[in-house]
Amino acid sequence: MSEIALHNTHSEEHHAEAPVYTSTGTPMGKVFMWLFLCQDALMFMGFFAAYISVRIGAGDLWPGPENHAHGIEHYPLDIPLTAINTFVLICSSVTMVMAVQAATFKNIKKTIMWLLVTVVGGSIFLGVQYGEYSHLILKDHMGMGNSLFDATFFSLTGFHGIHVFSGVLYLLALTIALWMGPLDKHKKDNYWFINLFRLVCLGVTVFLFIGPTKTWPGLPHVLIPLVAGAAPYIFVRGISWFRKRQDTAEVVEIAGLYWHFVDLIWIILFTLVYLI
Amino acid sequence: MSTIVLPKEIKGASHDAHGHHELSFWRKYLFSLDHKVIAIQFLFLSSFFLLVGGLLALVVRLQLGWPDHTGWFYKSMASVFSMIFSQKMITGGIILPEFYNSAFTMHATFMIFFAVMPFLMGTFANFLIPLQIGAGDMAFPRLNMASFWLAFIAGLVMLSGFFVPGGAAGGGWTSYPTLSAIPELSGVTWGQNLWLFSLLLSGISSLLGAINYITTVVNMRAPGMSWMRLPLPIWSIFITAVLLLLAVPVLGAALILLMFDRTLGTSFFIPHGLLVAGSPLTGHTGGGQVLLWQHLFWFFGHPEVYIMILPAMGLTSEILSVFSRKPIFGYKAMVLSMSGIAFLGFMVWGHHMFQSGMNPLLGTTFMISTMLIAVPSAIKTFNWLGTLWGGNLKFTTAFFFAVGFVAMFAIGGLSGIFMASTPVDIFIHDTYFIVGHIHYVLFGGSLFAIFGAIYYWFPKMFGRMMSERWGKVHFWLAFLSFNGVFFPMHILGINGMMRRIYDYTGYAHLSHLQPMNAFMSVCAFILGLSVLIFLFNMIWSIFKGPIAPVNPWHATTLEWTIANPIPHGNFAEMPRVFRGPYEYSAPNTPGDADFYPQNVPPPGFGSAERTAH
Repeated sequence: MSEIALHNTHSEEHHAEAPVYTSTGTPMGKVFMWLFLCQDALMFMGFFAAYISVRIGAGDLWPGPENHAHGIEHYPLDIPLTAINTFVLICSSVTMVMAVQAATFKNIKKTIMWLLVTVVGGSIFLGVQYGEYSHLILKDHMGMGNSLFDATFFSLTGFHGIHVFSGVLYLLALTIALWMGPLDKHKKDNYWFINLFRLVCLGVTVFLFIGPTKTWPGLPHVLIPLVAGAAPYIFVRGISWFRKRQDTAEVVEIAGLYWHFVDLIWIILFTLVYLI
Repeated sequence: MSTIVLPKEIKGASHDAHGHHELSFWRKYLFSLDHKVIAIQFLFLSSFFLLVGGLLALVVRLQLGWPDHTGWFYKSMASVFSMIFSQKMITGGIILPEFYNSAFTMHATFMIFFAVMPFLMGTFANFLIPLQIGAGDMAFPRLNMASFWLAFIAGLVMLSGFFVPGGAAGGGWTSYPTLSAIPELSGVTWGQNLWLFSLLLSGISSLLGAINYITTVVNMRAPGMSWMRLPLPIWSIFITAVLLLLAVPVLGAALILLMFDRTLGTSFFIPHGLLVAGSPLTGHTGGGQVLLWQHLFWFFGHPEVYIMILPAMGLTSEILSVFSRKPIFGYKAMVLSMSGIAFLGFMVWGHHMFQSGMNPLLGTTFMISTMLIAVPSAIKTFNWLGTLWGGNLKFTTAFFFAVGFVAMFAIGGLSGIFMASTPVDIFIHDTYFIVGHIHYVLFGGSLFAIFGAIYYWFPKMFGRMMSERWGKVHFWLAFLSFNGVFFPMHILGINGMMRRIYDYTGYAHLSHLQPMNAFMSVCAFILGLSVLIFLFNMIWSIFKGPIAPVNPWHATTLEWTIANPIPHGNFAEMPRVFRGPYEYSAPNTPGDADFYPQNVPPPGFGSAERTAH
């Protein structure tokens, strides 16, 4: 009848610590990630609803792979290339599963290896998407303000791309943290160069934001400092955050939840935006 | 009896998680990780924005009471306001129409997103969850701090709208495109962008809060605190957090898309062939859908209404039960009806759009689903009455406000049924009837419950009692003037007075309503005075109020077992919970008390277990 389920997280012998008390036995981090994914799913749902709505509103005027007959000569999206890209992303989900499996069996070397393979998969996806974007913008002259087809394409794939980008950084930070040695709550690695790096990141952010940016158009003015300064900062913070976790298997599994979610969204997105 | 061996060191209850050393001023009061300090920060934040929102409401009422800008009351008040607002807002004693638009827009925005929501889901969620479930702090204290500071920045960004060229957002708190999407139409340029950005920030803040609250309630309940032993405020906050988690992201998506329309030249919400001042719109291709915004917005907006009322219901239930000295009537029914309201809340958003153009069949569907909400709401109302029935009533200020909540919520709920029925809505849509309805639910409902809850939990927050005498003055002034302002709005609405109108005297069927409007405006100023009395009472009591006993209301829940001031980490040792939270006037209560605290072991509880601690 016990309502107390003790969560037995720590099996590494050298840290025989009292487990963190939770009412359900599910680690806090896992609950957090599931809830975060819930809200993220709803946000994507808002974008998908907008996409479906404006597309149905446009009717036959919407460029699609089938309606060349309706006066639309050229369907700009490259389905075979993106299909290969989708395959790469799905494969990276498989390698993520391998990483989680290896972490469960406490094989840190294999965990690091599979995480790196996953990072490479995500990076290939991003690289191909970068190539696709530059082709569409430079050759096909697509742009946010040109048509709703362009606007929805860039909004949806861009928003998903930000998720993949964050995911790659997330997994990379985790990989580096694991590579630096076993995770330990009590260890304080306080390297001077890390602190210096953080300061430089902050400086870059502030400089880019208030510095010679007056001529930039609105959105890059905000985005470029974020990508160039804040992202590396969070990345380094992330590594030291992971270093202070306790249970490797749990941390890798939570990262896996995020990665699988991003893949799942892509499958829906690929079907909606490219195929139908 | 079963033997439950508790772990020796339990994180959360013990202090080792946060350390016992003295914290610097910054970490203790400003960038604190302690949920109680964050709750008080939210209390001050929302009190400030309650004042700002109230001031803007008085601007609106002043204009509506005397649209011809005459009369001694108007002139004296306008001269006071012109000291506060700039020349671009009030010139020569005349409230400018552009400023009037900004005033009602920002009034609603501040009240909803920066007063009522942070009061309920900032102050009370933060304060009550760990204390009532027996936890040391939130699951993620850092996220909690981030949540507050994001809300703070969002509030500043929203305020800054008044100081940019073009003024603050003026398209109504719903910001319907095309009015909000095209600057030429509303005359507002940067103000609308800031509005969107600020809401995005406050949305992220709400989401961080929601994730934190859900995780804490799910995972950090003290041993014995099963789901059906949770106090009702916790249930209501938990359900509300789920609503926030599922509703706010959709608003986020809509805000981002509208931001794209305004800054990147997209046309998600801008239809094809739109004419602006007689000439075709340039810079946008068009082809988007105006209704898309309304669907996305109200998919968030209707759950939002329940986000603002459900926690108020939970707080009220607690107060009514304590001051009736009776168990809450129908605890399970209360929990189920709150869940039912939350569930139904997601399938009724279309009832805001009956007049926007909709398939009649769909309209009927939304009408039926909306009217279904009356069932759980009625269950709750009758349960509150059942709690009061035959109770040993204690007439404290908190109790007054809780009863006021029930009464005003009943009126607001009943007027909602008028709006929900499609044929009636044709006549009262976008009139003062809806303004009256929303204020009965949000002011008479949520805000009365918030006032009551502040009087009730103040002794635990600050260790001092608030003045009951001034509390009673506050209550009666607020209750009477509230009804003086908002009840006539139903009559105005039936007479066809449009909401958001600047000067109605130009209409033959409305011009005779000026005396009634003037009466309402005077009542509004009295209502403002009552809130000032409340805030003075609060600030004064923080420093000068009588020292509060540990359990001044003889309540059973866990927070009243801790001596004031509550230390960082809350409970010296992890509490054990033996019963539900509403054991008032129960048989076999210990000693001569009429209540049975949740953590007191029953007589004959195994002594072997206590040694296991």
